[in-house]
Amino acid sequence: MLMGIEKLKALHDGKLIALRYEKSGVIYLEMETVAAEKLSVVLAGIYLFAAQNFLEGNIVFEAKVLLPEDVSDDDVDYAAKLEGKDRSAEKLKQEIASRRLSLFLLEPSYGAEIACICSEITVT
Amino acid sequence: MQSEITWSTDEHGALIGARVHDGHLSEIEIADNRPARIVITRASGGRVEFKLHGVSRFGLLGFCNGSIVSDVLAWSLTAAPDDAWAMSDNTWRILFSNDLDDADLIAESRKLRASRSTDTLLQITFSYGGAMAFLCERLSVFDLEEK
Repeated sequence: MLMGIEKLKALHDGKLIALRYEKSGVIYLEMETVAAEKLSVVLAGIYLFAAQNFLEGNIVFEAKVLLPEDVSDDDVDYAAKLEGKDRSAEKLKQEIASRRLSLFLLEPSYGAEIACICSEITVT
Repeated sequence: MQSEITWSTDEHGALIGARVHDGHLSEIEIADNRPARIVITRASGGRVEFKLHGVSRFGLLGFCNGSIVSDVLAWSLTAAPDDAWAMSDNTWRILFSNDLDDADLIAESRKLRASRSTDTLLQITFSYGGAMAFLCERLSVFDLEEK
């Protein structure tokens, strides 16, 4: 289930303010656009999550969601490499297709990069 | 109610006092301008909070819902093992990037040690894969007592 993902376009040059993981297995990302509008990205049904290069002050280049049919080999390779668990990219692609998972990517201008393969993404 | 745990480490950096081996990850909160929190529920049921003040860098790789805690390691940054980059779930790779080759990773870790020599490095690894690493100015550990 994907909701509100068109709002992610406003995050270019915005900031990642906070990351929260709860025992329900949901990850919340609090973001702020350059216009100081707050956005919350909720990731649920997580199959893979990796976040690296978090620094003080994380500037977003692009945040985007790729539907299962739009996920390329390069995207899967990137997510697998970021996670660093030596998962087979081919197996990941199969899981994405068979379980209808989406790929959330946060690409930085500075600082944090995030890849998350999951079944539910809500942006509010 | 919470009470602070006086923690120490053994010669390998394993954190002693929190007793969270085989516990599961319950909560992480990292935000600008306030301490980061990690809450682990012990296998015996109690909860332990790691509070990290002044986090300057961190990485979270491959943890998942209900991740079971394997090891908690803490070092003064200057005492972190020199060969950590040779391990699979190594701290430097988590903190920096899997894109870096070993030589660059060594160089980056040395730069960090020189610039933030009084900081604490915390690493938590999980039994079924995944790990987190944080660089912070100060680490406090608390027993969270239910009301």
